[in-house]
Amino acid sequence: MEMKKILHIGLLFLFLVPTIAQAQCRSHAKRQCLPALAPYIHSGQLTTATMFEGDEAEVILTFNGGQEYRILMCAEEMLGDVEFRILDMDRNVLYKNREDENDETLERMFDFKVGATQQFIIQIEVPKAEDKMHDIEIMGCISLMVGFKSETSAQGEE
Amino acid sequence: MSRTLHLLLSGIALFGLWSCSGEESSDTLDATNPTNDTLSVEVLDRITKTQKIFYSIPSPIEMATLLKKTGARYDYTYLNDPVSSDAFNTTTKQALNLGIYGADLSYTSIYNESGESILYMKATRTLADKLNVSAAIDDRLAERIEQNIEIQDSMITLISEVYWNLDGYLKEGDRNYISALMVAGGWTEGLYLTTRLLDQSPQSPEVRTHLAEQKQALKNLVSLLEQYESEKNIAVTLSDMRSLDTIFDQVEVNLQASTPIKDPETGVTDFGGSNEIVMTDEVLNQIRVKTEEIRGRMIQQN
Repeated sequence: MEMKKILHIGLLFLFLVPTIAQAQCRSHAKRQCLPALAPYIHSGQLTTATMFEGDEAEVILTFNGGQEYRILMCAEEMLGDVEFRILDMDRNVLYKNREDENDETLERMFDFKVGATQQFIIQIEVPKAEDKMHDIEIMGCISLMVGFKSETSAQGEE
Repeated sequence: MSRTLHLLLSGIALFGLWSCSGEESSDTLDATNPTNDTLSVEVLDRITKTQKIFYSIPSPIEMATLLKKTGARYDYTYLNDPVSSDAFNTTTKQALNLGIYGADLSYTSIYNESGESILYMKATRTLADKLNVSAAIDDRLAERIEQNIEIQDSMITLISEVYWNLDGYLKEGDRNYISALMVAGGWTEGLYLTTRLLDQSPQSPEVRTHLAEQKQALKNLVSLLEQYESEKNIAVTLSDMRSLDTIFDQVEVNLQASTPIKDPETGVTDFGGSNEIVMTDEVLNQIRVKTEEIRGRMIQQN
């Protein structure tokens, strides 16, 4: 009986959770991440995903010559110290937000400019949770946001 | 019991991830976990789907910024007629033209043409309404836009917010292919405006370079659209983009990388670099003609 109840609740969530999760991730990105991108202008593309502990992801992004950019990696606290690295297309590491294992201060943004349009690989790594009291996987929202600087770079509304 | 609960929660989480990530994608995404061989199918599936949410196609506002940087002068005759917005009656045309008007709105705003920006914002709202995403530009946001219409930097931020909302609402409504069409429309209009700049300066190296450098963005756009190949509404646009891609394949863009230098004062790292462009006048003309043809089909009323 109890098992049936769990299954019913579970199935209910199965249909409700995706929509809620999507909206939650967008809301998290808007409240917690977008403000940190200023004065750079967000591209407007929604780049938010749910990731699990231990997950790794890699994305290749194109940056336009003559532009200045900010990459902001913004993760929900429950995911822990999420690392991100920027590599060139030959896989040379150009930037990492954790210098070594003892580095406790993780930067979450990186500002740079490119003289010519080129692609970079962005790697994201969610740490595996340690000392867990349960076997439920931790998941949370991650946003990888790119902002660019225009000549007049936005300073706010009137 | 515990195992059942765990499986159930994993199922819920995975389903959530699938929906959250949607199906939008780019060809530039690749699984990288060094231990891929040992990863379960479930984890690999997650990684792949997480990666699919990111696509690298310049937004209309960035395209407009880049156009202005070439030194081009403003010309409203290049733009799609905002009065036509009410005449698009199919979802495909509405989505494509939502992107096109978004690009035109970005163009007028970057050049601080507030009178025309109002018209393009109105056209954008009309199509958002038709596509049932009017919440993306609600009255409050519309009011902020009206109040800031003459303040260029605020307008750029607000347009970015409009684009973000539209993208978000379409994805949350599980209408990812409409979002992809909107992106395709916006990018095509940006490319079309770039080709029109050649009327002003036929040999401008900045314009030619900007045009050639769209080669990669086009590849990403084709990959994004291919995710929805089964949608009949995508077919014409995908076919158009593929034929344009075939022409762009004749363009060579060779990156000459340089050593990164970090400015200790600003903290900004300069990666420098330059691109050597190989593109004949004939290829350039083919791109121009094909772009005009595709854009013409997109803005043609039903």
